[in-house]
Parts: sequence; C-alpha cells; structure tokens
Amino acid sequence: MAARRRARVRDGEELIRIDASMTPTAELLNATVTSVEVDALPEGISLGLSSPRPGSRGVLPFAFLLEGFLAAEADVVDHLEVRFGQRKLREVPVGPVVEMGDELAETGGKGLRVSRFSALVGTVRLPRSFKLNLRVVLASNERLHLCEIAGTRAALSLPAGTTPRLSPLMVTSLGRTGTTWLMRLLSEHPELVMNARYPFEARLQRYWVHWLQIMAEPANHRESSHPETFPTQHWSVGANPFFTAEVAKEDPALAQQLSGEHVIALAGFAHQATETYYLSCMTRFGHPNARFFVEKHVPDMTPRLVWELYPGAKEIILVRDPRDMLASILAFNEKRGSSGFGRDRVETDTDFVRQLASGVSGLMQNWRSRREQAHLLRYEDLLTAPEKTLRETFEYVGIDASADMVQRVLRQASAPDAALAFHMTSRDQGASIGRWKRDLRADVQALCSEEFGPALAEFGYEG
Amino acid sequence: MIEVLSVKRPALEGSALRAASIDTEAGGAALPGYSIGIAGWAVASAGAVEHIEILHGGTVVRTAPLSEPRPDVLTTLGLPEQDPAVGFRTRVSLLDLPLEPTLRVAAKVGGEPVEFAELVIRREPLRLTPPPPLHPLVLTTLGRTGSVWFSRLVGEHPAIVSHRPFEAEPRMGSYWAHVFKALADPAGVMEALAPLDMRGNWWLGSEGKGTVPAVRDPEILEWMVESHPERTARFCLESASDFYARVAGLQQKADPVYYVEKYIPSFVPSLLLELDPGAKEVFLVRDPRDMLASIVSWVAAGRGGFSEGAEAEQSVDWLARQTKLLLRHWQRRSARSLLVRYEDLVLEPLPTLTGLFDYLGVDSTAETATTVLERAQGTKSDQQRNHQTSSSPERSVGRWKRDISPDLWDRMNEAFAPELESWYGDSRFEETTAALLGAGGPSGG
Repeated sequence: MAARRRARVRDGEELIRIDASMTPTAELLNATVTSVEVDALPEGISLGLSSPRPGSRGVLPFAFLLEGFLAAEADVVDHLEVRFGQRKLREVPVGPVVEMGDELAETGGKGLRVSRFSALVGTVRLPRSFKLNLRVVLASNERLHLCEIAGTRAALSLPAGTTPRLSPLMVTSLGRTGTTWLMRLLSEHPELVMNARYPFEARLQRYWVHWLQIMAEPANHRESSHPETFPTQHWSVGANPFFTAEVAKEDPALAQQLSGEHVIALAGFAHQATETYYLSCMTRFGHPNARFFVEKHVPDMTPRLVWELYPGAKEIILVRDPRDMLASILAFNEKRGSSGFGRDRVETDTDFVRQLASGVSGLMQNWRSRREQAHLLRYEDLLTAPEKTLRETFEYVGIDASADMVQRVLRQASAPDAALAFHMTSRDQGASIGRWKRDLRADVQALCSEEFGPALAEFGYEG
Repeated sequence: MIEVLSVKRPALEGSALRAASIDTEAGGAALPGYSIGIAGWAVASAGAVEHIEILHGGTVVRTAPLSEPRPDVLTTLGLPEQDPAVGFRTRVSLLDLPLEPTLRVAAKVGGEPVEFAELVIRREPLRLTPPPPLHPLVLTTLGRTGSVWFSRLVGEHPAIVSHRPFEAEPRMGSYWAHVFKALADPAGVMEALAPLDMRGNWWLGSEGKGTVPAVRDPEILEWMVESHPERTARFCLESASDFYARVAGLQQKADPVYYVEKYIPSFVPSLLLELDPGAKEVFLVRDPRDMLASIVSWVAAGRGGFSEGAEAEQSVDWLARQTKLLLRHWQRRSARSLLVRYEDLVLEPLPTLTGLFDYLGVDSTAETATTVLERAQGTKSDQQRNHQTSSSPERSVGRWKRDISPDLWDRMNEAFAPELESWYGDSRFEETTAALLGAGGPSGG
C-alpha cells in the first residue's frame, strides 16, 4: 500500500460538523454503550464516530446506529466491517462525500477523501453484553482495526402472556459424539417429544431461531435483501430492507417499533411455529404428555438465544473424547464414500484435526458459559453406565427418572434398528471407546494431544 | 382444500421420452392445504432425463431431480435393476398461483422439456378471518405513472396511511408478502424438517427448486401444508399492518383503514387480495406514450435506467411488454378493482379522488377530497420536485406529441393499441384531456 499521510481525528466532533443534521436523532439511536475505544488508528486513516457514543443510552432495544466519517486517501477504503470475536457480524458500506481541503488542514488531513458511513447494527445475534470490533477493509483487502465498541442490549423474550406448552431440551454437541444414540434413547421417554425418525434431525427450533435472527436484523443491502431486488428472490428471505438508518433517523419511533416490539413479535411467531410442529409430533408419535421437545444443536448462538427465550429450557452438552470423534468421522466418511463433517473443506488430516479442534473448543466454551444451567453428558458414560447416566440426565431435566422408566427407555431403544446399524462405524458400541488408539496414526495422535489438550482436561479425558 | 379437476397424460410416441407418468391422484381427488405433492417417474428414449420441471404458464415453478428408486418401473420396462433412479417426488406451493391453475409436468431431455402430464387444480382461497386491522390498498402500476404522487395524495386522507412516498418509500407489505411466500413454500419448510445446512447469516430459504421429500406422517403433513401456511399468512400481514398502524399514530390518524403501497404486476397483488378480504386494489395507468416520454426524460437526466436503452425507440418494445402485463392483470381483476388514469388524477383531481374514496368506502365528501388535495399540494418536497420530469402536470399529459419523434408515433400506437383501447377506449379521452389542460394540478411526471 502506498505511504499514507498521518491524519487523525480522535473525536468525531470535528467531522460531525460536516453534516449537523445527523446528530440530534443519532444520539437516540445508540445502543446502551459502555465504551468506545478509539486508539492506535492505522496510519493515514482518520475516524469520526458520531454514533455510538460512550456512555450513551439509546432507544433501540436490539440495534444501534453506527455512523460517522472516515478520512483516507482516495479509493483506499472499500468498506467497514463489524466483528464479534472471530465472526463478521456485518459489512458497512462507505459512501464518498467530498474531497476534503482546508477543513481538515489543521489536523493534517488536507487532500484526504472523507467517506460517510451510516448503518444500523443489529444486536439480537450478540450476547446481552458484547464487545465489537470495527475494522476498515481497504481496497487491497487488508483489514485494519479501528475501534472497539462495548455495550449491552435488552433481554430477548417471548411476548407477554406467552406460556409455552412445551419447553426446549437441547442436545448441544458436535458430529459423531453419539447424538443419534442419545436422541434414540430420549425419544422413548414419554415426557419428551421429537420427530422420532432417524436421523432425528428435524430441527424446527434451530430453523426458527435462525429465522428470528435474520428477520430481526436492520437493513443490510450489501449482504442481504435489497429494496430493489428482493421481489425477484422468490425462494429466499433476508433482513428487512426498509429498516434503514435513514428511516431510523427520520422516525426514531418507527425504528423503536421495528427493533423492539416487532422483534418480540418475531420471537413469538418463531415460538408458535416451533411449538405447533411439536404438538403435531406429540400426536403422531404418541407422546400426549410430553413436556419438552428435543432437538440437536451445535455450539453456536442458537442455544444461548433459546435460553434467553425459554427460561424453562434444558440443555445437555454431549461430549466424547475428541480423538474418538476424529476416528469415527474418518471411518464414517470412508464407509459412505463421502467427505462429511467438514473434511471436504481442508486438504489434510492434520488440517482437519485443527478444524475439529476449533469446534471442540467452541463446545467447551459453551459448556463453560452455561455450566450452571446445562448438564454435561459424556458419551463414554452413556455406554459404560447407561442406567446411572440416564437417571442423572432425566433428573436434571426434571422428568420421570425412576429405575423402571430408565429400564423401559433402554429396552425400547435397544430394539434392532437397521438405520442405527448403518449409522455405526464400530462393530459394537463398546469398541467405539478408545478406538483412536487403534485407528489413528501416531503423528495424528500426537497432534490431537496438542490440539485437543484443553478440552481433554476440561471434560476429564486422559491426555 | 384442493381439488384435482383433471389429469391428462399426453401421448409420448416419437418424443424423447420412452415412458413417463405421474402417480398423483386422479381427477376428482380432494387434498388438504395449499400445496400439492407431485410424484412420478420418467425414462428417456435415449440418454438420461436431466430433471423434472413443473410449469405454470411459461414459468418453471419447481424442478425436481430423479432421485427416487422405482424398481416397479424398471421391472415393467425391462430395465436393469442397477439403472439410475427414475422416480421423482416434489411439492408445489399453490399460494402464488391463481385459484384454478394448470400445472404441466415435463422431463428435461437433451436440454428440451418433454411434457408428459397436465393437472388442472382448484383450491380454496386462504382468507384471514378476521383480517388484520389495516388493509392493503394495493396500487398496481408501473414506473412513471404518477404512482408516487398518488401515494402522497391519498396518504393525506385520514383513513389511508402512506409513509414518505417520495423519500423512503418503504414497501413493508410487499416485503412481508415475499416473506410469506418463502416461508409457506414446502421447500422452505423442508429446510427445517430435513437436516440441511442453513444458508449463512443473512438468508433463509432454499433455492426452492430441489427435491421436497415425502412427509410420511399425516399429522406433520397437515401442519406443513395447511396450518403452518395459515399461521404464517396471519403473522406476515399483521406485521405489515402493525408497521403502518405505528405510522398512522405518528401522523395522528385515529382510525386508519388502509395502507397504500405500489406493486408491479406480479403474484403479490392477487395474493394480498386473497388473504385480506378488506384489501382493495387500484390500477393506476397512464397513456403509455407519455410514460415512454417520461422514461426517456428520466433516463436522460441520469436518474437510473428503466429499460435496455436510453432512447425512445429502444424502449418501445420493453415498455409494451410491461404495459401488456399490467393489462392482463387488470383484465383478470377488473371486476373488483378500480382503474385510475393518471390524466384524470392530475387534470380532474377532485372527482377522481371522490370516486376513489367511494370505491374504498371511506369518507368521500367534497370537503375531504378538497382537504386531501390542498394538503398534498401544500407540502411539495424537494424529493417530489426531483421526481418530476415535466414543468407542470398539464404539460405531462400528451407530452409524447412534443417529446417523441413523429417517426415513432405509428409504431407506438400499434404497440400500445390494446392498452389505449382498454384504458382510454372512450372516445372522449383526447377531447376531455384537451379541454382540461390548463386546470390546476400537482406535479408533472
């Protein structure tokens, strides 16, 4: 990149004067922001951030206005991106405003191009307390940190007066950890309901919570629905293209509805769509007294949102020795002639171990953040001590955990099942424990010890 | 409830198909819900069938792969058991189709569709009872017909809500209609029922053209094809209604009845009219020759493209396709909709408004119409002025005679003859227009 002149405006006030009209309502559209840290701006990049402002308290429960100006050499900046940890939350386009001359002379910015940005950033996808990073993406594709925005958002809930007939029981795990066997067992408990057909992966709640996250987002014409083209996208739904920063600034009350009551209404519909489905499953699968519906989850934002929406939710975090997971995945892919579980995304088994370690780490983080409310279940315990493990699991959920019930569940789930036999990659369940010692090469074993080390310790597996 | 009125199976002799059939119920079958399952099989005479297409008119509404094993078919045709799957199974949403559609089933062989079945279906409409508090006032029209001014004008009525038509022009009703279509479609529902990956952070919905596996459980099928679409329809329409109710509150309108949005002629207007018994539709038309002149002027001013070309000559055919589409929609729904001519709106606004308000069943007194007009005229914004391409409304009527070369007149008159006949068929039009030029009006398009 060409050498850039040093030009920095630490506080947005200097630049806000360019467009005074944006400030009055912009202040209202902040999140409840505890801090905005602008330091160590990249050389030659100047930032004027009018919103959010540190210490502000905005009116939008699930969004805030990100607005300001960026000064840089012409054509250097392509767009901004807002990141939450490793995840890109959204992109924000920048629009050229003016080639600055004397206005920025005092700050050394003469000759720079000042670009305006203005977008609403949705917060439903974020934890209630969040820290975001704002980065500038240069035309060269280089990404440079600009500032960190810390804030909180309102609690997400179902509409007032909603009393769920069924509560969610989440089975949060990764592939090849025994989820299918656990689901098969749970499907036999009369107080639980699911779509009890192999592979037990009807995931209505995941679908509708995903829908909620998309529909609750303010406009993002760059990555989602565009006001001119959405009518031609017959099969897809994106964020509301009309819930823009402009609308929010013109009519904060409308923005408040779209980002507040409307989001709660979306959550209500997502709940209704999920529950009506599981009510039909109760009839279909003969569990009229079910109290929980059971779904498989992965360690992403969804379980956290489910907990927020359903205080009566339960969550089983199912873990397995990740080395056995790896061996099972490789065997499963070989058996089916496929490259599933993300194996197709990387070149070598070594890379695959690292990729898998990222997922295992995510599961561990999920467990750590919800260990007070979730229940840890080890696949190995389910196989070696099924009665005890099931009893403890049922007790955690708060359903019949009597010895009779446990025996009944085990007996009925153990009936011969061709689909489950096809799912297995060991000659029997016992042989699936510690298989990594037989199945994995020595160098891969060593890599596993390194990559999976923290999770092995956390979940109680020998290192 | 869906009734299969007839099933025809055209002869396949001499075609690229050796044999094909659908398993769907015979004529007279009654099915639940708002989508229909279609299954069957197809075997090519030579080579392979690429996929199955379900067509409505000239539009492919669903494609399906041949992914279902059909040993019965292979045996009957004397084909080896190890031959590729020849069966298909899919499900087609009927909610964006007319109430009595004809679906044709074709197998794509060598890049060409070969039709082997035709179903005529009738379904009951999906009606929300009671409908949401605010009803759509569907303005079905095209660009450069004065639609933004129309929205601005009627939005001054105390019972009608429009939101910044010249500025933001949010089309919440249109957005929620599309959300409904995507969510109620069986292919969308299958995203949740089948273990498929969801499409990342910003989109929901399948491409809609893949397989829709059979749902073997009747209770779940009922949920998928009937109760879920009904609940989704209510939520989507209520979401649009809620938004405009809030807008009405900001505008201090105590008893709003309608929200006005403009729509191009597509499935959306008829869908909204079906879902909400209180919905009304206005077709706003304009002499297509003036539309052409306005479009050319708009494009010349660098305000964006309407058609493939910037010149009138390049745009005639393109515009004629649009106006004919609008005409077809008008002809289908003229019995329950109202035709409003741009020329009447700008040259005779008061009687036009009175007639419109009468049709809508809202206060249509002369006093109200006058107030509506005065308020709209009194708040002309910069955006509104920027939207105009004539110096005055009077000059926007019949502008084609000034703005378009006489060399093109015959071609235009021929291209737009059906529209002119249908919308301006009364011989008084030209005379009336001429007589009225000079009367007051709001803006020029």
